[in-house]
Amino acid sequence: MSLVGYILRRLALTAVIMVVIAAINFLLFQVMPFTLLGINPEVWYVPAISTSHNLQYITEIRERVISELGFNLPIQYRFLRYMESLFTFHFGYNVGGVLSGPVSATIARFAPYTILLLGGSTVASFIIGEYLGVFSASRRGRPADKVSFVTLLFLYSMPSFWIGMLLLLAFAYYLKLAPSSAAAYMSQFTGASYYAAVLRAMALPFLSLTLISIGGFYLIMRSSALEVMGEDYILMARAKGLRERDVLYRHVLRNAVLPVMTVFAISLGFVLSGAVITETIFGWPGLGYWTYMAIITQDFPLEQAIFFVISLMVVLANLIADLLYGLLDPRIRR
Amino acid sequence: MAGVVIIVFFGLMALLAPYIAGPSPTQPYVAGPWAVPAWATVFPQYRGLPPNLSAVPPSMSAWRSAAGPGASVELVQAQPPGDLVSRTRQGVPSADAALISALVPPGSRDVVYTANYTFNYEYEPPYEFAFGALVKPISVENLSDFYLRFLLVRPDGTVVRLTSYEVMSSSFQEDISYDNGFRLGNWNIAYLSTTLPDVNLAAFGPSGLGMTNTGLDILSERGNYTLVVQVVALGGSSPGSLKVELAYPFLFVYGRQYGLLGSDNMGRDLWSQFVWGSRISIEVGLLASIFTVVVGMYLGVIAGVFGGAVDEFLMRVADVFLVIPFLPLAIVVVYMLTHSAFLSSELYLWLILLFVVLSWPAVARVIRSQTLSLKERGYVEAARGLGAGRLHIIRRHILPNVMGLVYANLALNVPGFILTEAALDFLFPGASTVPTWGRMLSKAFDHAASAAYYGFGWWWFIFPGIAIVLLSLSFVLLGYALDEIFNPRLRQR
Repeated sequence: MSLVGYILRRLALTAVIMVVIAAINFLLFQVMPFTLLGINPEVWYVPAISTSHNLQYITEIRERVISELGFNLPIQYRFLRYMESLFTFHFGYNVGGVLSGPVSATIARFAPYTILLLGGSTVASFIIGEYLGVFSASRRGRPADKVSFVTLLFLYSMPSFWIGMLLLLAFAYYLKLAPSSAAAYMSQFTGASYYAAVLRAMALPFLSLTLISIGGFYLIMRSSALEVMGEDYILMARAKGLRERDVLYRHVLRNAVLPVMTVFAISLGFVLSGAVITETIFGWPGLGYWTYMAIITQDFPLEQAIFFVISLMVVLANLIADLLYGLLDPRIRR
Repeated sequence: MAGVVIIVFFGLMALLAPYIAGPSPTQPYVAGPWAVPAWATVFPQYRGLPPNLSAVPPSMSAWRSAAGPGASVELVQAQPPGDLVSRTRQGVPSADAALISALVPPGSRDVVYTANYTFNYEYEPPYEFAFGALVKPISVENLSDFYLRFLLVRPDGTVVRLTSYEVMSSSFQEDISYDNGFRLGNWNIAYLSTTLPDVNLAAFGPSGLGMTNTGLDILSERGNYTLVVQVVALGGSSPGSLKVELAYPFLFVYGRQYGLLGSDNMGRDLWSQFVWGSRISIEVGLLASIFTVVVGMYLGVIAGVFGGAVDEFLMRVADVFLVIPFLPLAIVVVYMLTHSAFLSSELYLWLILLFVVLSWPAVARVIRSQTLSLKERGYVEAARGLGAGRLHIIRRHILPNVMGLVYANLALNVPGFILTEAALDFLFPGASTVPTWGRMLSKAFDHAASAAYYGFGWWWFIFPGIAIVLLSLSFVLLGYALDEIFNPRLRQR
């Protein structure tokens, strides 16, 4: 199959997957327990004193929410409306009581936090993981390899929330160097000092996420580097009399990096899962934090939209990985 | 090897949980709040912390006692019901009781009986303690009231009025249960504790902590304390009499050091929670992994052997499941489960199902590619040439040859499930009441702010986390080892 054919086929498959995922996402929120979907008005508004005026107000809110969520329509119309919203990016309005306004604006407001945190820590852990992996592979079986292997395996097996807890306990509660809730801390600042506050609040979640992700990169990189080091061109490079450092970081590292990148794209879903927990623990107001908060505050339109956006990111990452792979490795295009 | 040892260790712990856990994991005040593990007292900063401690003996013969005016006392053998005795935490089934008979003149307010016991308290102050006694009113006539009075004389001579415990009420003489449950002719317990909100000891001394940790102020120094128990009778309008038995006075210091793993903020046994928690982790991890691998194996083999439309269909379904973000979906599903009375009772079974549904595709893909390469081998061709059916080929030639991969996958899938289950328990601690490592950590995290005051509760934060890491790690190591055994290409050249 030609490259163009391969790409077209991949694109078509991705489109099908997206439709199926959208349908799952839609159905998931249709089978939510009935009390949560507009039958119980207290979900959105609890009056201090219950008067007939309040009750009327509640009823009005309830009606509005029901029609906003589209629950007065038959299911097939709701589905069409939902599919339409995926293209217009009009996901409805926040109903959880914490946030207000359109969901798409909420996502646009909080996505940068996730991109900053996730992007930064991914780059950091990728670089550290790569170098450690190659270093470890070059000393296979020796103490340096064994120590780094066991240490990073330990990090890899650590629950992300536990790392977060321990960091918070040590740095926020014991040493009092960092805020215990990033969102609360950052909201005290405005203007230029806000960005400084963001960086200060980001230190702990950044460290936490980096520690979690290094293990994965390291393990793949180590085995990938070991494989590359058995290749003939490495033997050739050594035979040419290149310095060991040049062999490792010019020949081995560059060739071993490719599989790691594709594995990363495929495991983006897991990375995002780690982000949900880390963001929640540190109160870092990104999409992961709101994935949890939206469900806790019963902000279903927001939850549905975030779920879709995250799925979209994973699918796109997979598509890019597939395309890259097809571009770089002709054997894949069957 | 180390991996197998750890797995066996936690496996045995899970199996033997009923025998090694000790007290119920949800029972509060097994020890004092935030008790450090008993072995931690080897560190200087925890030296001298009190263990769970019964300060006074249950038998009245060991006490110095005196009868008031118009009263007489004799010692009798008493055998109160076991449940009352166990609440006093005095571990003997029978003890000497003081049988007090008193004539009470009208309008009098006399201490008809006093018992003292001096004990030496040589520990750091406790956060909390409990005190009281067992009482059996035999006959009460023409009294307006009678009560128990508890006093504590501190080493410096100051007297702390712990409380006066009212035994009688107007309905009492008609043998109707009073709201504290006292009944004529039966043994009753007068149980008081600095942990109960109605024991207003906060007025004593500035603890700065409001109603809690009163023990810090009362048993604040080392030395000889004297607990005084008095029976006080208030005469009515005509001459009255009182006959009452008193036994099992107690002063129980809730330990600040306890057990193997200490206690949580409510004095619940953390070792017990830890042991029971191993069950859920292993159960969810193993069951989910077994089902995942079995489903993935069969679907992968079927896709590989049958090929064509079957293969295409299965792999496209797998594609969809592979890109569904695991944790966000799990969060939504757990939330739904916890809000449904019918589904939430089997929360962990549903979690296992969810894990299997989301994880089989990865296994199926690996098995499929292995199957594809096996399918082209000579002996499979030969079997096909001899007219063997697909089922026969699957059973006799494919399955035995993918088993190595299956075993490795079985082990390698477990850590992810253990970690995800723990994470979900951490995010939704209220989803179930079953003690799990994730739930322990979640509750510890909830109290992170107050933990600073209580020595950071490191025993509460560290051990469940280490257990999760060790168990996951051991399965990873086992998986690698299996992979190396069954996959000769990975062996060192």
